[in-house]
Amino acid sequence: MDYCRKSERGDLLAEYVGGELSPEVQSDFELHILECQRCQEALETLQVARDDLVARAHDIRSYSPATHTRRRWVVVGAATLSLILCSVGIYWFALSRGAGSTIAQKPPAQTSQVPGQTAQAGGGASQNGLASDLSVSSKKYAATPRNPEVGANTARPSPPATPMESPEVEPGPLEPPASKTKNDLTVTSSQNDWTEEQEIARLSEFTPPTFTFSGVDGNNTTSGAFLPPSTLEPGRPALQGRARSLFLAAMLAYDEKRYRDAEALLNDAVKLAPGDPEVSLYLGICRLAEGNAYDAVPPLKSVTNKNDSPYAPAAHFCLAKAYLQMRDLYTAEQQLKEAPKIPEAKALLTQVQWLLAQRNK
Amino acid sequence: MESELGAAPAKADKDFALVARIRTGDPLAEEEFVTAYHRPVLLIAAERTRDREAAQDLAQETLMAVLKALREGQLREVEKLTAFVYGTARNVINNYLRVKGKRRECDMDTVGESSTDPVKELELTEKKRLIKRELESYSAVDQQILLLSVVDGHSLLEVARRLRMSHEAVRARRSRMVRKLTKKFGHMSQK
Repeated sequence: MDYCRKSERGDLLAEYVGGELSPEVQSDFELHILECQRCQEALETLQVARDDLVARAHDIRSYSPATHTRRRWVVVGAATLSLILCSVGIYWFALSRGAGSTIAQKPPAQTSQVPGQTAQAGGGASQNGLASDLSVSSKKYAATPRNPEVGANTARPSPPATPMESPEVEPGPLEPPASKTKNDLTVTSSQNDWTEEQEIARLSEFTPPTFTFSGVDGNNTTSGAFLPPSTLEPGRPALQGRARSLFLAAMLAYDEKRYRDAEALLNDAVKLAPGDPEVSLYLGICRLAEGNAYDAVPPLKSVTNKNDSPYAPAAHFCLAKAYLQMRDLYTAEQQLKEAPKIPEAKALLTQVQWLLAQRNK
Repeated sequence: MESELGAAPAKADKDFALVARIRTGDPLAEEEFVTAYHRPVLLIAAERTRDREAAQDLAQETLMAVLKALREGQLREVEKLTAFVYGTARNVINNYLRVKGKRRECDMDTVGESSTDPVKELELTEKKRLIKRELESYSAVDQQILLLSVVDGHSLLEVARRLRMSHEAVRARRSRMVRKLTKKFGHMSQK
């Protein structure tokens, strides 16, 4: 055995000094030491080092790996915090520069104003320069509409910054956008983009219909912008068995605006009752309420595929909202045209068509 | 390879001549023998007993026993001189440990040099100082690895467990440190 080479690598010598060698190997190595000058020197060095370690053993032992780990995490935490602060600083710097150039183009704070008025008002400081960033992304998304059914769970643009669920903010009145003045037309191209973005964000706001749950056999009613019928209503075909239980539990959560919980339960329910339009509709609504427009499309589409379904108009309306959130005005328009029975869909259609007309200009 | 093959017969011839001279009562031959074997026997004894003073005594006792045997012509196979020295040293050390009733004793109060050569003593002191400085430059984890494995005699697995590291990482770090130490200070060893 080439003890010298092994000793040079540090393994053998350390094992010898550490008493880890088998008796046979130890004897062979000691016999080698008697004849090998280099190994004698190495062994002597290691013995001196060991003496020093023994002399300082107390200090060395006082070191705790846990302390070391804590220190390391503190350092990592401090570094991460610094990085975040730097990023925020850079972001604010960029934001303030962007806001400075568009400060005169801010929309009115009240969402009740029609698109034509927003370009004129110039107020609404509450919706700050974030819009300048959004307008950049929105143009991109609007230019390349995507089919949400293809790869619904793949990478997709994030929903707009405005909240999807804001019961306090009612959709704007349906005043005809024809009231646009001559001065309105003098806005620059960037102002047009910015206004369109704000308008789409406002129009895509979605308030889930209220589902008043009053027990399995009680009178459950729906209300809100549109009124989808309920299987729980007397005279309607009801779900059976486990699917019904899941649906009831889901609607309890929905009633309490716990849309995520409701979605989870409806996911299970739809597996048991894949053809039930009501389960699919509320699954889509829950996803839309959670801001997952892309994921909301498939269950809603499964409802609209059955044109004779009483849930189809509501599904069309929800699909329109979903496409608006995805900045796909054309598909949203088509969906809204399919839901003429819903008053709000009609009003929304007018506004979408106006936006499309502005875009074509 | 050639040098190794050539070195073996040369050493055998040398040992044969040395043994012959010792047998004839040549004091220079005995001194030559002690110079050649004292240090390695001392190192092995120190390693086994962890007691430098005891190691000095044991090395002396070993070499005396071998010299006595050589003078009396008890070594029949002269080419096995090294093995004979080693066998004697092992018997002496084991006998000491058996009497002491403990193996691998580590009593640092007894650590000290009994060398009477002031130059050697100075060299050793300087070497100790430099090695101490080198060790202190290592990270706390590295020093713990050395302490736990080389001083306490824990297995690498145990060291890895205690320091919450992987076995491979502990092994690599220990080897690297030992390699560094021996490369840096090996040449300073007393000849």
